[in-house]
Amino acid sequence: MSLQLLMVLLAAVAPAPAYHSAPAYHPAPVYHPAPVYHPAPVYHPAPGGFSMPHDINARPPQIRPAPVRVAPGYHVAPQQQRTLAYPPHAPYRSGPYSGWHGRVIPNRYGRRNWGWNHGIIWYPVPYYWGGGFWGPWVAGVSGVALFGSIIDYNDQMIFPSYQTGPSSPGAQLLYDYGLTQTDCGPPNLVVIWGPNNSVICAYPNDMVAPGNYEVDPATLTLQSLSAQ
Amino acid sequence: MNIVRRSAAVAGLAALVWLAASAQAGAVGVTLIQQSDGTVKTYANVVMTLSGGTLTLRSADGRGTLQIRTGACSFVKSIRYCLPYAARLTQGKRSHAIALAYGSVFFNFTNSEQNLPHSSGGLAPHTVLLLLKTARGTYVTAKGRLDEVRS
Repeated sequence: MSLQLLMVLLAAVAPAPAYHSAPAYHPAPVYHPAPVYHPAPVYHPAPGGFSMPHDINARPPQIRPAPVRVAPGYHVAPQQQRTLAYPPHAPYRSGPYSGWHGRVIPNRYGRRNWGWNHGIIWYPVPYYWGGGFWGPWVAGVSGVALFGSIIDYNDQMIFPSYQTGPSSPGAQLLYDYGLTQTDCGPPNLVVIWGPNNSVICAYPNDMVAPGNYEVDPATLTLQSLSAQ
Repeated sequence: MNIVRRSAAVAGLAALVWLAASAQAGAVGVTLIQQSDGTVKTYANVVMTLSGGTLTLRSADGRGTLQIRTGACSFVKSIRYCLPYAARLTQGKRSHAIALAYGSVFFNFTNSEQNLPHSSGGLAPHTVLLLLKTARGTYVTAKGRLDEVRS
């Protein structure tokens, strides 16, 4: 009896059977596919350096008067055909004019020598209209917008004008003086003569009255032809 | 004529996109030469150097050198922008003048990427982008890090 009682007591104080929770199901590992490495394209350079067979002994482009219609006896003002590793120093001959003695209209931003160009001297290059001052245009190449022309009846010379390219030094000049370019030809316009017989025209404003002006590339300033 | 011009422009644009995708900072240069008949040859590992105003492209095999003289340089923000006006191709011991029609050269001499003017594209640090057309209608486009710059 006592043995039975002892067994009952032992059973009472014995720890409850451990209940093992249901096994945790770990999801199967996600296998990310190995990244596909696309090898860099292998370029097989053509042997023998650069191939430009059509350009060997090609003649330099001729600056054509097109799209300017040249009247009989008149010819288009020549553009620079050789390299000048220096800028035009004002006053310089441009268009039909060589003597520039008029008033200098200061640039409102007070640009010092080449300050507008990070201090680097700008100089004109051949083939480009105005030496590249007004943009990357090659005179006579189709696709360049013609903006009228100035005719010198004394010398029977035509000076075509083209649209100023954005971000060009010429565009900077127009911005500095608050000028808007327009077609050359009508009277009472601001006529600006640039490097290499280039010319553009603009509407006059409070700063710049109608007349002929020359641009000094070093300071982006305008000087009028005469004191009048 | 317009179709030809348009297709050339499309080809040039495609070349630019391709160059923009392929050229990275630190990479050597890539040059595309598209003949007037439309055939394009690609040159990788082109060594690009600038001395004064002369940009020199040397092919990977060292046998071809294209020298481009530039001038009328101005700045658009931090991008230096020049006009190519003369070129010379040297193949082995023979040298030929290449007549140019027009073009543009952009330099980024800064240590950060700069936006190209009038473009959503950028130019990596110390990188040059050259676009030119020859008198015979050949398009040359080149982009890459400048391996050497001498004033």
